[in-house]
Amino acid sequence: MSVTPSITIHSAPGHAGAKVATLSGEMDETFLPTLEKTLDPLAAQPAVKQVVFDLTDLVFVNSKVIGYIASFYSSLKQGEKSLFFAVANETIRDILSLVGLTAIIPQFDTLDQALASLK
Amino acid sequence: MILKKMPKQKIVQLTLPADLSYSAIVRQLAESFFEMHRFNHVWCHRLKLVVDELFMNAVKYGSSPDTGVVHLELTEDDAGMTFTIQDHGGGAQAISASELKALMQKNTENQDVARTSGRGLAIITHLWTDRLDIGDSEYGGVKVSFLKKKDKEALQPPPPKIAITPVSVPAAIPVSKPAALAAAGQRPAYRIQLQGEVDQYTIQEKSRAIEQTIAQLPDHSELALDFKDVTYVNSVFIGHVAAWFNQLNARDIRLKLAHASPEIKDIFDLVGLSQVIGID
Repeated sequence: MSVTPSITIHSAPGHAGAKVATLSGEMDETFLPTLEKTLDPLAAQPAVKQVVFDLTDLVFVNSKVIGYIASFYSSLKQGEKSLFFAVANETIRDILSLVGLTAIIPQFDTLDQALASLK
Repeated sequence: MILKKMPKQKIVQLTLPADLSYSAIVRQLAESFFEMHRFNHVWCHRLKLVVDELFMNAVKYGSSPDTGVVHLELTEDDAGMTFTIQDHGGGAQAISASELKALMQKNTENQDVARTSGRGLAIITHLWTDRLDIGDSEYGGVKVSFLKKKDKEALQPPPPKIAITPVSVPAAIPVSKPAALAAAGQRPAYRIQLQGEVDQYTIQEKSRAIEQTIAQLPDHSELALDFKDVTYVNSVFIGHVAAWFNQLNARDIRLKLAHASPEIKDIFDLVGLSQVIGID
């Protein structure tokens, strides 16, 4: 059964410059406009220095979404900001790793570990 | 939607509107199909993603959005599993088979991780399929198919083997001297630990293994079939147990059932076997 995709943005307590984006469900190209509308402003906000993707409930991403994540990472990097992955399940790690994103974006087993790594 | 099952090969054919809102249905169908053919969790997900990418590609580049359809086919044969998708061409961003081939080759060679546009489809089809064919479709557009072999790495592990372990043999009396055991009023005891479900798919293998084990048991011993890790047994298996009871009885081997769940006990009660076979 298809799982409806969603994205929500939260503050990270104790980390003023960080935002946590919780991605869930099955994300394909049909969800890209929502993803862009929600995440692009984060890259443009001077106060945001780090973004953590909480992937606990993300069950599927296709190449279009991965392409957007890579593009979002590039935008953050240009603004000297950082992106982190937290709690990606085995299948999500599989595809992120295959396309090489885990080589450039740090990933953590828990959200707490990801937040603890923020400076 | 047309579902057709052919007699020789196992084939599922499906014609869908060229509309990305059908992606979830296509993914679900693909995952169920590969799962049904014993691909493991990791490979079901990988192949679902390959199918999703090819569907998206056919919809975007090979179809007219208002009237277009795409044709999907999933086949199982001796070579493995084959997925084929064909479009009618005519999309606003139409691409020919030779152009798609060239694009895939170019994107496979792209090493820039941060520029993944187009890399996804190229990489996953390159690394996760055993063969990818791109050609002209009989419908006028492009035909793309991939083969995934049913190799060991991609399939679920076979059902666990049944192990036989001697139990409850008094330490003072060696197993190799059954006469001594008999004199002490003891029988060499053995246990067969069953695991999982015993159903129409697993019964032949499990029954054969149990029969081979039974043939090796010494006469005048005791055998426990341990159902601790069994969640379901079907009626055919109950029939096998009755036959084994008779064979063992003729050799003075006591049969008992251990750790049977209430549901499994009920089945043995129902057929009357619990009257003659001890159930712990």
